[in-house]
Amino acid sequence: MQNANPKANALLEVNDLKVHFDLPRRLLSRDPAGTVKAVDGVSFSVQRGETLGVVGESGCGKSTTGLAVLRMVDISGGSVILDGQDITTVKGEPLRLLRRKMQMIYQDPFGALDPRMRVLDIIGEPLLVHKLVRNKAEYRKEVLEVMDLVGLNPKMAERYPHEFSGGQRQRIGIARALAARPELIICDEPVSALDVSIQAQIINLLEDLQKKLGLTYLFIAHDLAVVRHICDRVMVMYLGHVVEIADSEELYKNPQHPYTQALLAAIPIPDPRAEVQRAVEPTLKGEVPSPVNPPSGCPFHPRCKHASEVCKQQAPQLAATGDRHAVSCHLY
Amino acid sequence: MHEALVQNTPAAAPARRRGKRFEFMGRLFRERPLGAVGAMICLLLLLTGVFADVIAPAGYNAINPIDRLQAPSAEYWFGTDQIGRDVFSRIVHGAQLSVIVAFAATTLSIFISVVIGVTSSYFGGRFDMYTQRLVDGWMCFPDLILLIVAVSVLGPGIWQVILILGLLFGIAGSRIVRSAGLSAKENVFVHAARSMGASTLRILLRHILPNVMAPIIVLYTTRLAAVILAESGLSFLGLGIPPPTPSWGGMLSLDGRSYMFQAPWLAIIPGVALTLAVFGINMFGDALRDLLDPRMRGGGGRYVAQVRRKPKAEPAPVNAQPTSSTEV
Amino acid sequence: MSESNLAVDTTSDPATLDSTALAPDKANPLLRVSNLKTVFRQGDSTVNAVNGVSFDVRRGETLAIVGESGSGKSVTAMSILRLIPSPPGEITEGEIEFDGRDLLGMSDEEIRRIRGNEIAMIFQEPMTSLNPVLSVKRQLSEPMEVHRKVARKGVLKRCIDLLRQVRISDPESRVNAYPHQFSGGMRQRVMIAMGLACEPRLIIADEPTTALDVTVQAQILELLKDLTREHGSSMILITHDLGVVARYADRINVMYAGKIVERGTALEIFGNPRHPYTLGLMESMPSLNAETGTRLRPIEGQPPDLSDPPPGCPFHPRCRFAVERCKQEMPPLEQLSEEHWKACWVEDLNAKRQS
Repeated sequence: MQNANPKANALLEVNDLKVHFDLPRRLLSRDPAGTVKAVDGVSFSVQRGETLGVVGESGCGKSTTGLAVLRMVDISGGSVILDGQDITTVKGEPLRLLRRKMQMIYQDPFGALDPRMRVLDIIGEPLLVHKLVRNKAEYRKEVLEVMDLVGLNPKMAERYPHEFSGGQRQRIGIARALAARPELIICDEPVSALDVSIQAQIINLLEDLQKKLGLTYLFIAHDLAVVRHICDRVMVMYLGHVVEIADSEELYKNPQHPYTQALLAAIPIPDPRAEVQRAVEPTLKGEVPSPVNPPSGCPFHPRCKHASEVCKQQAPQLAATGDRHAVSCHLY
Repeated sequence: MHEALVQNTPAAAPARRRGKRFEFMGRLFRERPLGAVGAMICLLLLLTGVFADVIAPAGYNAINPIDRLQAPSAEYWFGTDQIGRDVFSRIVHGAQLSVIVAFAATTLSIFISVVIGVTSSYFGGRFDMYTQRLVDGWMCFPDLILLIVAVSVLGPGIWQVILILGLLFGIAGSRIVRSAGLSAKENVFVHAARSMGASTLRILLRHILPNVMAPIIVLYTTRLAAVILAESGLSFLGLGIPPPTPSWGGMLSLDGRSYMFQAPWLAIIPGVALTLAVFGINMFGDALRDLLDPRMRGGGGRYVAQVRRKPKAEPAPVNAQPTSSTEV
Repeated sequence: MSESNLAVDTTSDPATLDSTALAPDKANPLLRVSNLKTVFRQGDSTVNAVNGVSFDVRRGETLAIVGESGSGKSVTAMSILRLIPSPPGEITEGEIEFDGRDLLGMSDEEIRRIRGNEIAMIFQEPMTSLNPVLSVKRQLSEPMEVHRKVARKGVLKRCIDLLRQVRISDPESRVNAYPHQFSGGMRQRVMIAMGLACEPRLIIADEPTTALDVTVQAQILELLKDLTREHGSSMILITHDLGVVARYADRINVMYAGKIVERGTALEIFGNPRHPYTLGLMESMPSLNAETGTRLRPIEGQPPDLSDPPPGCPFHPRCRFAVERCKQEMPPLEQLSEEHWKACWVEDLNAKRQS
């Protein structure tokens, strides 16, 4: 539907994914107080070795999508297929085994590591969990190898996380994700909490690792410049829906959905002359509505300057507007 | 504002960890001197308990009727009781008893608290709800009633006391562990362990438990004191460890009360021992809690910025304040 | 690591200027910071968070302080208002003059009268900066009550007016709401409204939009720009985001390890960065305009340990232009043009750029 490549080579396929959370019931009522439709019908696929970026602002559901793929939240509808296997309802031991194939890198380099464990143990934990090594020597060898891969000094294996800087801690997190040699890595804002000068180091590292190990990334972020750089394709989400998906270059050159256009216009460019010359796009008015009570029809219509009657009534479908470019909007 | 950064010299690491323990003791003495005193009392108690047989000149039941009710003297440091037993020896053996009971019961209670608290907080949901209602129910009963009932069912004796006190304090303490567990559960690294496929047991033992250690340690010390007092109370009421085993509480009640006017030292000395032990443990526990907690958050200060300035060539402003900042 | 002659600040020493006619605002800045040093002590170690910083803020201008964590930018801002917790922190040296008045020498009472009143601060985390149990009206009126005697009737009207100024819709009913009923962007607007309540001359905004979405960020920054222009106030914008700085700042100070390493107008800094750190920052950022497939050029290494900084220039371990002198001597701020200053021994970065 949204990409021309045969799905046969897709490592990850997500079809009409829905993740709904019930709000806690009020005291004596039998019905839930409401439902948060965090993800409401998302479909995409990721080819092996590709990086798909997922962008959007708070409340769009991008993080929840990542968690759903990882099966860390319950899926309310739709399906997730990893390497040909439907993992939507897998439970128990088969789910644990699956966890070897996909791993996650977290946003917070300080909270993501257990402060009481040595780096050696943090990185090696997946090896123990999945019983991938036979003895201590092998364990150590594997861990040091991964440390070397991510650019950490192997002599630091006995240290504790608080002895490292933010960028190095993120490397530890990456090493931990790589230890069991997964195929898919879900990166949840992996550089947002890092200093600018360190972000570039980590981005380069992620790119190098992808080339070296043939990894596939689902890259969730809000920084559009970073996403453009590292991602092959980008998917824009708004209030639990996909509004646009295209090749990276194409999306930034030719954004079609009004929300994508507004997003791009809002990014400040680090160049005063370019800023002055830029077409003065009126900043997007209003705020993201609550996912408990989303607008009818197209979720973006209250803030869209092109909104018309049909937008209020009918939700648009994701439709191809070009080769490998799809938009969910009544304008097209 | 300033991050801890790595020094690229691996040799620094072990030295720093050794240094941490000394640093801790240094801080204990400097900032919480009362806690340091408490620590020393605890140490004294512990050593007395361990080496009781060596320290005590006589057995705890060495009857010597000739020397009964002697006031403290050079020969009998704490005097003798009504059947001529050396009070000092009895106190020393009593220390041993207190130490055994206190540590055993406290350890049991902490074990129970941790098991209930950690599982309840981690699993949440209905399990947590039912468990907590049971805990609530248990805590509705006054301790004393429960103790009396338990003793009447189980009979007096050292193991019974340990069991009862362990159970009683364990269930009550589970709440503290539970709240620590709830906040530990929220950490991203726990989420990471789950997403890695780690088993629940592994997460509980490897990730949750070590990160709730700080409140558990503090809980341990406070429980110690409470157990000693509780055991003394039980013995005082005659429900605890039966004579002739020299429980301090028992000594207070049986010997002390009966001979209060003839031989006041029989009451005073166990009383003082009890007071000192509890005081020491409490002070140390408080100091431990203070030192473990706010330090991790990096020390607070008052927002009074008294500016210390180097003397300058031009006249300083009229209302320049003298420095008053304290250097740590 | 003493700063040699940082007192060579154009605004106080006309002899170093080329032009003879001083713009009136340059000679009489609203805020002047001279050789500020703020330290934090913990145990035996002393962290020199701000290590000899001098700059000025002119009337009506937006000055940006750019730097990463550990650069000292936030500590500088807090030092201006003497909000440094002491212990463990302490302002050990320097002068801060606000409109001719010495801020560091004031008594607690006097500086309190300035906080929120003539100098207002906007913080980073709108989620936690507002008191959750007080209504918006109570919090907005607090600075007014503390500093001015506004009549009771007038307070409500002024609160509604303020909310309208920060473009919160339906201010009449919103004024009685509580912080949790607002989204992040709206809470930040409330914070801005609180800052503006007493019409300050100087606004210090410490990463005001870092925690917000990019579209909300744009709204907030536009708002700040409009408001400062309307009121004629000056703003110190502290951020690590070079994009924000390019759009909204008149002049920029780049800080690293507690020192200012480069200073200039926005055009100068972006068009002609003369300090390796500034250059490194720009090269390491992915740009929306770059060709795809180009590799980012990060600054290698880690930020320095401020309690044990390397001798000489604090940036030299990570600097690809470093020469022997950099390891030994701290370079002073050297003037390149009227507003453009740098602190670096290397003359020309272009010659070595390809290495």
